[in-house]
Amino acid sequence: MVANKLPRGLIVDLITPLDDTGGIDREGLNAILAKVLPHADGILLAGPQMGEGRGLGPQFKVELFEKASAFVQGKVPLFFWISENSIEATKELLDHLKGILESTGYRGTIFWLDSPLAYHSNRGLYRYYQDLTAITDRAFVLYNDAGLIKLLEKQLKRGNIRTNILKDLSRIEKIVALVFRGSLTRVNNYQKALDRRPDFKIYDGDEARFLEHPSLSGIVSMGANLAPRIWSTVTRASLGVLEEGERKPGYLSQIWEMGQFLKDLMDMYRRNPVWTVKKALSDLKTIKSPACAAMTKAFEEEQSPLAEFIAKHHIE
Amino acid sequence: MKKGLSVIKQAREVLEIEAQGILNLIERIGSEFEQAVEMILGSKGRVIFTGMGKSGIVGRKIAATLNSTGTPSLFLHPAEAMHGDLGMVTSDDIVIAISNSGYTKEVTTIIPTLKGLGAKLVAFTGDPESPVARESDLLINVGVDREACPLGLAPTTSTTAALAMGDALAVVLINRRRFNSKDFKRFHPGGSLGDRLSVKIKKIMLTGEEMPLVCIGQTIEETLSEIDRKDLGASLVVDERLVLQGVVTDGDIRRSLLQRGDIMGLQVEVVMSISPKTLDEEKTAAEAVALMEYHGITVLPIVDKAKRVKGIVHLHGLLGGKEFRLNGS
Repeated sequence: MVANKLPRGLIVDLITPLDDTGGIDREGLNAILAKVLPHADGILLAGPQMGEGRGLGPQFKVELFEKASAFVQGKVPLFFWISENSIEATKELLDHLKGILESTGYRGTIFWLDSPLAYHSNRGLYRYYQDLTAITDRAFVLYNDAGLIKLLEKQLKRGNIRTNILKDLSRIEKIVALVFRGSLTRVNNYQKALDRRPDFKIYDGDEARFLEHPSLSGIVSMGANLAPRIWSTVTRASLGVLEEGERKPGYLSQIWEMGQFLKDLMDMYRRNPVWTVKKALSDLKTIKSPACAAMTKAFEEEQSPLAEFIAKHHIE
Repeated sequence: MKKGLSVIKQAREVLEIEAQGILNLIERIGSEFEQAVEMILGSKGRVIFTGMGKSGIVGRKIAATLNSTGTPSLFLHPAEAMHGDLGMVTSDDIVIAISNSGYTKEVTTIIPTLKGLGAKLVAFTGDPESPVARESDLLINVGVDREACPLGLAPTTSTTAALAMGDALAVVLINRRRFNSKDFKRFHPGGSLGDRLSVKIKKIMLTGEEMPLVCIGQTIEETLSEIDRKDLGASLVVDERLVLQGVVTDGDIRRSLLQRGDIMGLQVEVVMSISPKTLDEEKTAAEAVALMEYHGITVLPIVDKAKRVKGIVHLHGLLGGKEFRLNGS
């Protein structure tokens, strides 16, 4: 296995900039990457939330991976969401991505992010991951979000990885972390199940939870597309790793204000995050268009609640 | 009503997170913890805790627990360490550095000096790859998964975890030392330590004939004799109006003897420390202990506003090393 160090801190759940024809807005992608890179400890591409990974299609995902990795050049670890609608499609996508890595000789850190329950039940998951992890020498990160599974409207019994299944999965060395959205009780149970793997990280996938009770591994943040510097500062403060120079007198009140700002910002995009954030970035000329993938299109007609907020707070 | 429920829910969440933080430490206790215990048991020196901010407060509490259960311990403030307090560290000591991030600048700054002095270093940290962890002889992982306080405004679960790990260390040491009720009485002669330390100094200080006292102009030989007689390892030096002029310890005399040869006929002011730390008799024993631990001293002159000597307290006396008396006079 390629020894990849998991980042600790802010992982930006990157939007996928589209042009009006549905293709990748290459300039927009580079612009948003340039905006977040100085502040991010990791970048999630094609994620199931902000990255609209459920609506992109495998060919598009491969192209996105190629273009984004060419820009990032290993500066920060990349997380790429590989889950498709079936076991076969997921394996096929992973094969393609592996091919890109080999052909480009990409040396940067990559983690494959997977939501197994999007296409596989809890039953037999350990054996499945033995097969899947054998395809590539890069490590895997699980993504647990019962809300996402519910959205898929599949006839699945469970939206969460069962705790004892996660315990089994943690025996696979190549599975190194989990992004979690869900109840505090469940994440506590997960932590207990993982106590033989002190190296295993659990990232918060829920911004509101992180701002209240921060996971000390870090956060996968949607709002960081808009305010990466503030998210980075708040994340590092929450993890207790602020630089010496940042601990000036009164810094705690500044962190508090930044936290309040992020909560206000969150309230603006909470209901319809992808389109709202894209619209704001498009108004700021970071990306060409607020165009969304098919799954998100239905919400495009709303007036952006962020416009006034952005003007008031001078977000650039 | 809704607001009330929310408060209760929040408070429960905090307790749940902190409890989980401690539970997660259970599997992390391993061979390095055992080695730390053996290291402390085999040490001729003291266990010195260091840490900044809340970690420092946790260090002070663990040091107090170890002291009251038979393991000599003290706290070294990392910032003060760089201004002379490192002098209290010897090669026999074990330093336990508490830093959840493992990057605390004040702590990493003193580590090279601590190692240069020959002290062993144990890290209580949440990041095994941090500078504090890397530089340590042993690593006790006190990492937690989640803080209960929003935005990292104050460490919560992490300090609770460090404190609990300190308790684990203290209890294991008690059992390994076969610390029994007789020992406990020896270290807590006046009843509960807390009760005793809340007493005002004037109630417990040594006064009158029990004070080791010499006057300016007396010889070092006479001073040594006074130190020997009163058995506190030091003597106060006063003028004719009993105004404190300095303090001299047997260590001061020993060092001077080695440097200068025969000094017994010289006057005491040649070797005494001027401007010693002092305290008012209205302060509590706990404040006296804190001051002495902070400055690495074992005796403290008690003076009035005019600096006239009223009494003296000794660290061991306050913590139970000597028989505890409710009025020295």
